[in-house]
Amino acid sequence: MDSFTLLPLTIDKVTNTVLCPSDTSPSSSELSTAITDLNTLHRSMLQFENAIPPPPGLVNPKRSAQINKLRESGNAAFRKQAFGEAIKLYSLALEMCLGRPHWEQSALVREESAMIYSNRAQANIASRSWAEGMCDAEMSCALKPKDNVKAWYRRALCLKEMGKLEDAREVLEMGCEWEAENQGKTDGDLRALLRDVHKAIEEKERVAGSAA
Amino acid sequence: MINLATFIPPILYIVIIVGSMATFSSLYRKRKAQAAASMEPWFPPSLPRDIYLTLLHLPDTPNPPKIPDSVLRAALLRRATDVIQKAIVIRQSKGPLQALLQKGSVGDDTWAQFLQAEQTIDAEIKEVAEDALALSNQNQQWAQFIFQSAAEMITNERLRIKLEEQNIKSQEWSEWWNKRSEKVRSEFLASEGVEEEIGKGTSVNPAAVLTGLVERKAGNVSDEDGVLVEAEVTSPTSPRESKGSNKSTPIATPTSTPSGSVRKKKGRK
Repeated sequence: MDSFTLLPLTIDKVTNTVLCPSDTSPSSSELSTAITDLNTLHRSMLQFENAIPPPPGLVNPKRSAQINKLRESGNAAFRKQAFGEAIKLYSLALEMCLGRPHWEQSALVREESAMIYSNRAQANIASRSWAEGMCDAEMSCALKPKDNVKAWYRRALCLKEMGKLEDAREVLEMGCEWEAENQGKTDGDLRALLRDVHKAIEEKERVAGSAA
Repeated sequence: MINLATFIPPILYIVIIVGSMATFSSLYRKRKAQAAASMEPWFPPSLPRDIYLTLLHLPDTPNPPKIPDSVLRAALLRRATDVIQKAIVIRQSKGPLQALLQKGSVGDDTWAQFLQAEQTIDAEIKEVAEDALALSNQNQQWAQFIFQSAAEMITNERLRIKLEEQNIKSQEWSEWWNKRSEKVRSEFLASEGVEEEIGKGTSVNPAAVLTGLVERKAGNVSDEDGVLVEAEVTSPTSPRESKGSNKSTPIATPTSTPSGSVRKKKGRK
């Protein structure tokens, strides 16, 4: 295994970007995407001394601070009931969070983005964009299913508002399962909404029965 | 003379024994190497590895370009992510493959192929670590954490892919909902007696749908809530117009959608 395929690569002397010949065969398209990836990675690594990315434990404090600031101002806008503004700020924070360099901890990205998604879901709910709220809450749940009662609640609420009662019930049951550890402490809202949904389903069935 | 003659048979014996053993072993090894070489590789040829090695060997080619170390580092990091992914695959499939081998579901050649792949990957990991050591400086021993960084990059990339999928799904959802609310709205507008429709306890409150749509269109929220509420209250006879034209806010609408307001409050706590 001590051989390799010599690729027709060249390097730009000024910008130090790796170049590859551009033709359209399928193998070379793979190569060119790999080269593009390499060049982006190279550019993002240049900010460090000797271009060595730090170990995953060290994160860029500036970016964290910025994300936090954006989220805080989003929360402030939400409290002022400027929901459109809040959504915009949360989206910015989210962009910053997902734009973290890939060698930083993914757990951190998960944590942060789950929170921001949850907040944006709330802002969407407040401005009655049920579909968007549902999607944001679903993202939040997917990113962090545990200890995320609010996101489960918001997701179910949006589904209920959109008339997807069965889906709402499913989501609520799933949320209750994830929240089983803190049963009786934090899942009160979930259970109340679940009761509501059950009632609504019964009602719907009754209406359908009487209509038929 | 007698002495020399007596020594010939044992020497001959030893020479023949050693010679036959050597021939056998060389033949055996050659065959084994041939078999190993003819074996299909477990993984397809790796592009990051080729790129890295090409960049590393470019100075050897005629008319050598200068490759800065930073480019090599980036290429090495890419290669490390590739190697680590393969190492994970190897580690995960070893147990199941062993079980299959014991049951007789897979042949010995597959197992041999697998073991070879494992060796190759181990060697490659060592190689990457050595190169990382060569590329690091005194302050930072890159070899110690290049694989940590690489593993984190893999999980991060997976996370981003998942998010991308979810994004597509959410777009579908919002399209579906837009279409549906549009339909509900048109039906709603076509029917007479708007107030009765609201009063009906259907699962989807058409009023909620309507206001939701209008508010999304309105987008920005003003501070003139009080004024707007008044405007709505004073024109209950033409709810369509007021909803359609006013920049109504979530706070301005409860007069027309009592159930909606209750829900909203619940959501905000």
